[in-house]
Amino acid sequence: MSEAEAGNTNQSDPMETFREMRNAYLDLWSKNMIELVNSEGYAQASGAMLDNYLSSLAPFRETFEKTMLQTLQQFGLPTSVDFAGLAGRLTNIEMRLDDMDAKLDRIEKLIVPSQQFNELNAKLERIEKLTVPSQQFNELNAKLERIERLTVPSQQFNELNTKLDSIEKLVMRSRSEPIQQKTAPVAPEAPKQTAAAKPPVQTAPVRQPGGRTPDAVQRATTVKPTQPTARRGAK
Amino acid sequence: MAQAPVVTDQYAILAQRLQTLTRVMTTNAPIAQTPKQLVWTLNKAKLYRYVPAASHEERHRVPLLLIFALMNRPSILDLRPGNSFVEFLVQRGYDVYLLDWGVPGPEDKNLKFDDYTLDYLPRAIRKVKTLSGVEEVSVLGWCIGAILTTIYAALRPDDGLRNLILLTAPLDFSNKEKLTFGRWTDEKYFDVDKVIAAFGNMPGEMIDYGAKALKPVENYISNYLKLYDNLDNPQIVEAWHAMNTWIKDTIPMTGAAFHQLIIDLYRNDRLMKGELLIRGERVDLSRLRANLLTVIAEGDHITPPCQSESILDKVGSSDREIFRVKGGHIGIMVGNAAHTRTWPYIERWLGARSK
Repeated sequence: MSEAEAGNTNQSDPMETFREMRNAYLDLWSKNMIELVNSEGYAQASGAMLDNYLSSLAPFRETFEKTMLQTLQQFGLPTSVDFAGLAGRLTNIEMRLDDMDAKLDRIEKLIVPSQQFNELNAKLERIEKLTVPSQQFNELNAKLERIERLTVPSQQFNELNTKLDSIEKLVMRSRSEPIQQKTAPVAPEAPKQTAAAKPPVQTAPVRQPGGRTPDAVQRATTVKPTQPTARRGAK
Repeated sequence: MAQAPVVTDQYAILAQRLQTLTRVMTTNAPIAQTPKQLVWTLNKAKLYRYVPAASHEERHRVPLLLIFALMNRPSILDLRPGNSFVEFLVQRGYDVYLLDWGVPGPEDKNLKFDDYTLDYLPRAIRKVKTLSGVEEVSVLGWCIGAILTTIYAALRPDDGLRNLILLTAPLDFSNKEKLTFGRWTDEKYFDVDKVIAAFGNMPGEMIDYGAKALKPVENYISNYLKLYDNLDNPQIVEAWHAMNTWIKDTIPMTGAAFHQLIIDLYRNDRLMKGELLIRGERVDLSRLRANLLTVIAEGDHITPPCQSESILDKVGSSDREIFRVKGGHIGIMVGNAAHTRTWPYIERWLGARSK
């Protein structure tokens, strides 16, 4: 039923007049009662009633309490005073626990930064691993080594070296035996041995240990072992 | 012959009304339904955090802690879906916490304001700050909860309390003429030591009687007649049911705290005079520097407006404000005025100060 319908029902209610009269009477009665309870007389009367009630109750209460106390003590049972004391102690323990809990909260707050630091450190380590994956590194290293081998193949080097040695021997022989024609067949090899501007005549007498020419030694030292080492160091 | 169906219908309506009345009077309505989780406990006290509706980026930066009175359940702040202050705030992006003081047992009879303000509140606020990750907090205190938060705010002004909202706060007890409770608990008529010696804790039923006796006709007669008159209106019936479920669930107030309330506040007005000692430490209201909003219910019989007004002259807050709403002690936060005035105003005030 809506409020409007409720209103209509009230309007058609034959008891409405009676209700209005009743409410008017209650309002009047209420005002009088409020004045009454506010008076000194009411305060005095209610106080006297309460006092009489408590006075009549007091002897019974005291007797009951004494009897109860003696009975409990005889049976070795705790009294209400004991329970009250125990409750007080429990509350004190609760308060101390609560204070400790609050202290732990504060400590936890202080610890949080170092925990954050640890987390950050672990994260950095993970990133480092991702940046230089060891497998990739190994593969890269192996590749470099292969390139190194390809760049200066030892067999080719040895062959070249052997050829150079033989040319050198021929040159030396041609110097000791003045037969000019014998040098002719090795002439195409000469540019290789002497490189750019140096004439074969000047380089031949300067012998290096191992029977190599200076140019050959230089090529061997600059190309072969130094590059891979330098790369590894860089990594 | 035409009369028979009419009579039958009347009987059916009457039977239905009786069934509704029986259900409402004998059962509990489901209240405090907003999803929450327990995040902290101390003795009987529990701190709840409501599941946020907004993402972390959309939420207000400063969390809000709700603190209700000692002698009633705080579920009034989350009464039922669609009529819940907590739900309203959560939906608007607040990180809301609720401190439930729990039900004190006989073993807690010695708990004083000192314990609540210096042991329980600082720890609960510390937990709120830890969980929210923010070093500032807003606190809303209602009724006795407002007394406790005011004392705490004055004693620990450097604890990160940014905003303080006081709802119907009984702080000033100087105007004896307007304080009905003050008259009833005057030393001429009321022996507080005798009451505490008899009961240990102040029984919830007695406190409930005291609150209802301020308006006896409304609370004991008109309230039930209103229900009877509207038994055919489900909206009114369900609202009444939820409210009644909350009202009848009273809890005792610890004897020592009740003793302080009567002796230190009602009789001697020590808080406003600057004479209140909490564990030997004087409560100086001028040390309270949080932004302050005091909400006053103009029709409040439990905490008359005069009890909440003068706090503004005593505190050291540069940002302070009074907001007056028509309504009663509880009605301003659950009645129709709550949706249209009180909640939106508090939300706007808090939102501007929670960045």
